[in-house]
Amino acid sequence: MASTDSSSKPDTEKPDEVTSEGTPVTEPTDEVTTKVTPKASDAVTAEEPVKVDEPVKTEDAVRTEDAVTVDGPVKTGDAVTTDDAVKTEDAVKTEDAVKVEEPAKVEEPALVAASTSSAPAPKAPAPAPKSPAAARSRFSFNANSLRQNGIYIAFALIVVLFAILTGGDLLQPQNLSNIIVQKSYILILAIGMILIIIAGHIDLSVGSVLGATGAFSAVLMVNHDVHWAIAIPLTLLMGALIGAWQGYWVAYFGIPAFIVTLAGMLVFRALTLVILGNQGIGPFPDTVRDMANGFTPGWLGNVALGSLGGADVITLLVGVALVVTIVWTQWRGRTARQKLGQSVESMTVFLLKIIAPSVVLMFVIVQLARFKNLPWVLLLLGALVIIYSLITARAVFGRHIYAIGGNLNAATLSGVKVKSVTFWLFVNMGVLSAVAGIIFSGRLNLAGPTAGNSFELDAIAAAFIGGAAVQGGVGKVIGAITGGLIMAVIDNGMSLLGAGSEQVMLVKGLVLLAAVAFDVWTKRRAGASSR
Amino acid sequence: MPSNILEMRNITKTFPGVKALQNVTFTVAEGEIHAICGENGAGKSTLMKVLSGVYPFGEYEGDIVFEGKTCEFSGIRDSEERGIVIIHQELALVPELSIAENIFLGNETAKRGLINWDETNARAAKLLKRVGLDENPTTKIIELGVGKQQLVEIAKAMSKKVRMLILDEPTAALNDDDSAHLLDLLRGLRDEGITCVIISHKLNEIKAISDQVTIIRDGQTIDTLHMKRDEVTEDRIISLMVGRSLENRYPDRDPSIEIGEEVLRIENWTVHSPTQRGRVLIRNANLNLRKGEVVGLAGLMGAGRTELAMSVFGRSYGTNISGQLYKFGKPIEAKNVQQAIAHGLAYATEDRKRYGLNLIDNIQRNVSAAALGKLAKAGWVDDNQELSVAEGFRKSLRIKAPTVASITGKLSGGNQQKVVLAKWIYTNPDVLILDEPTRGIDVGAKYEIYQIINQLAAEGKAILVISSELPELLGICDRIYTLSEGRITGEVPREKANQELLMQYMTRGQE
Ligand SMILES: Nc1ncnc2c1ncn2[C@@H]1O[C@H](COP(=O)(O)OP(=O)(O)OP(=O)(O)O)[C@@H](O)[C@H]1O
Ligand SMILES: [Mg+2]
Repeated sequence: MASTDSSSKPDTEKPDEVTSEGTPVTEPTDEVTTKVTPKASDAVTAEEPVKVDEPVKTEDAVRTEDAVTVDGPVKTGDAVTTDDAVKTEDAVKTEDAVKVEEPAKVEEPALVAASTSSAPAPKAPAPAPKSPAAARSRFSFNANSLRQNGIYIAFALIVVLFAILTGGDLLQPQNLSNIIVQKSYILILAIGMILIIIAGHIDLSVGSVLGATGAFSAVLMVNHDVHWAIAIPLTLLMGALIGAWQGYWVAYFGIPAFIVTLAGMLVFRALTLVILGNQGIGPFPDTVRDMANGFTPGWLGNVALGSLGGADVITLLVGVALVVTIVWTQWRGRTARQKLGQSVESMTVFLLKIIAPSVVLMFVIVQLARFKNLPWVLLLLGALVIIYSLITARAVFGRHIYAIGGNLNAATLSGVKVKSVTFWLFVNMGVLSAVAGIIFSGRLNLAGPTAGNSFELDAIAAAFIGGAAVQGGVGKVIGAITGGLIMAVIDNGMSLLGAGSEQVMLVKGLVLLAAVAFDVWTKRRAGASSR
Repeated sequence: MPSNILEMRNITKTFPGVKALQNVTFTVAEGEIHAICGENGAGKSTLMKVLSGVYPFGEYEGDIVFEGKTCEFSGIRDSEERGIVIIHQELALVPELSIAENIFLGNETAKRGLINWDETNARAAKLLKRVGLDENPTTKIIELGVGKQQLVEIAKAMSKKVRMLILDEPTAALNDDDSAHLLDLLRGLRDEGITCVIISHKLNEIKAISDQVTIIRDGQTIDTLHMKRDEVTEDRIISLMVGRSLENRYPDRDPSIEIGEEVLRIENWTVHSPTQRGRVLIRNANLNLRKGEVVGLAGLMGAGRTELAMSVFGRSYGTNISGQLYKFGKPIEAKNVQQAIAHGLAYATEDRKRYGLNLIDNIQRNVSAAALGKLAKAGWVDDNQELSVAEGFRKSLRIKAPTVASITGKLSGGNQQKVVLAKWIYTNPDVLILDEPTRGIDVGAKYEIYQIINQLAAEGKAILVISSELPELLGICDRIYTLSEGRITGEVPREKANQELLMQYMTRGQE
């Protein structure tokens, strides 16, 4: 994995416990018909962001802007100050380290321990000299970490910009909910795409696969009245088979993914047309529509949040649980590192690192709770993000993806099963495309022949805006999600401002170019030593 | 005393977290061969990159005065215009292009935008003759060995109007013959009036060829010595380099360690070339390795040493491989790298950049790359344990980096090599094949690596060392095989081995 350290990570990762939150996506849908929330309206299918004109508005706008202005500077300030502070201190530190190590030429025991004992770790290395500079060395920021964090800063800036330009409408409860729900399928595709890009490949066929799987599910559920609990797994299976087909050609036959998936783009679009017989199929069963479009029922009712009005208790609880998990896992990681004698960031920095994302998260959660509870797709998306972040950061499979993308030869010679990893990456992409396919057609209540057209470009753009490198080996799930959200916010914000689609396209294109240019520039700044 | 062609004054260069150069002063006289010595990570390459504009003006502090004029290069093009040409530690040739294309890359002989291939090839042929390389200019780089590639690099440098040639460890990957040839070539260039700066860890070469030597330690100039006037000896250079004296170049083996049973036997091993149909790379090779034994494999460039090792290591090179491996007397199959690792084989590559490391990832993840399974439960990696393992290696192998979170691509060559070693030591193999384990490594670190090798042998591992430096093999091995044109031509025990004998075996069956 290309990230240098965990200190720069956004804090949404590693909450082992949270995975259970994601599971109840489908079970309780039977009772959905009775909605508790007072604000529920069925007309949400509208793709346009809705301007809310309520008396609350003025007061609300002030609040949100407040929240944002606090949030913005905190984020940037965070990175900048540490950057400066550490540059000098770090130089001092390494000099120290070098001098200390000089006399102690040979330390056999440590080597033997490290090489022979396979199960228990060699004794924790002697605690590092505890100079204040050393204590902060883990937090050494450089161009590289700027590169990793730039995306989050950029995201914050873009949100602030549009929040101001739209007079706060961007952050209205209903609009926030819309942004997430409208782009959920792109984000799901982006998760699969970033993995493929990290491994040094690309997938141009995801839009067509989304179309084909959506069509397949429609034929099953609408034309043949297959129960959704059977139709959905079958559709996922179809996605897996499509992925396996492409994975086979890429991994075992050795055809570049660009070519295989370019072919796939045509083939599976053709398949979509064949399945649909050139017409849209719908409407979908209510359950599927609800999953794609609906909200969790407010099982526990609402609470009054003072002037903010009523808010869904479940949503708030989920938010609190997430924040607690973030804080807890970060804290545990920190103490574990300390125990191992590793230096950790200072308490202030650490607190900033967990408070900033928690505040942002709680803000989004409260807004959602005030609107209509949690969207089902958000739960699904959240679960996917957590699971895939864990896989990339901690699983052997994830490590192998980075190893392959970083240096294919070295990975092969280190015993990584390159072919099988590549194969399963494409299978995974196929399954995620199928998930997105079901959500997309469920949301439109129609599986159409053009469904998913050019979605691959959005997914690829999300991955690259989110910091993936064109040569592979670099990238993060959360980065791709942020990249996708940046585009979603631009889309949404610009249409709130009444901009035409050509303007939106123009801006999105330039943002993509700027993001990659920034990536290349920081890399050059970092002085890529291997010429 | 000739005038100074180059003066670098008070050069300071910092990378985030690392002060690579501190007030370095470096002066080169016109028409001399000037050597730079220093430990791995001392800052030698960095200094030369500053000089050649790889790190442009503004990214460092200090002055560069070349031929009396202060220079502010903004890129390599600028410095080349002034006649400063650098050949980097990592060769920068395009493998799929021909020799001639590489020589004139970026400098093409063109008329109205069209390249005149006849003229290009003719000029290339002339340059090749000058550097003594007997190859067709249309041959692709990929078909050449490292030694010949190095000569192509020099030919490329000569194609520009070079006043000062900088060579960063040009002989690191060369065997003695090729090195000698290269050094002769440099002498010839000096006679033509070209000033040379050469970085090398091979002190005997430095002593043989250079007029002055500058020693750098921890980013600071320690001293500049005049070879003849100051009566420089290798030991003196070493003590300046490491800051203390080193009595022995090779550590003593503990005589109480007994060489035990046979661990690996390779029988009738035959390997064919994957690129050229029908060409046999290794023919009927037989060798064995025993517990606690350090075995050497000597051979000239192109003899097939690496090919032999890699084909044994999970058939990772070559096609149509036949023969049988026996481990502890039982036949084993190692059809791919995973199986080889599972059988306790390990192969540390000679080409760490291309085959050894994920250069964009950190030390920790590189160290664990080949043995992630040991750190994982049910597919999940225990990254705390991983961290402490990597930390352990960073300390015990003295990998010079602030933390194990440092990116390996930014380490100096020697430290990268140590990371590769750590990776394979951590797989805890029974058989460890080390392909040029000390290539590009300073004397102090070499000694440490020999000690590590001894220690691993003492733990009962069987070790095969491939090296182009015969003194090294003679210094550390119990037994040495020689390979010539894909055949094992000799097996010499330590007591009987000497350079002449090995050389004789290494060239057996040729001409
Ligand atoms: N691009 C870079 N970014 C960060 N640190 C770097 C970079 N390039 C070099 N360094 C650091 O600067 C120091 C000097 O490196 P340099 O490559 O000059 O060493 P060297 O003397 O050439 O060593 P070797 O003999 O191993 O080639 C090392 O500590 C290295 O890690
Ligand atoms: Mg160097």
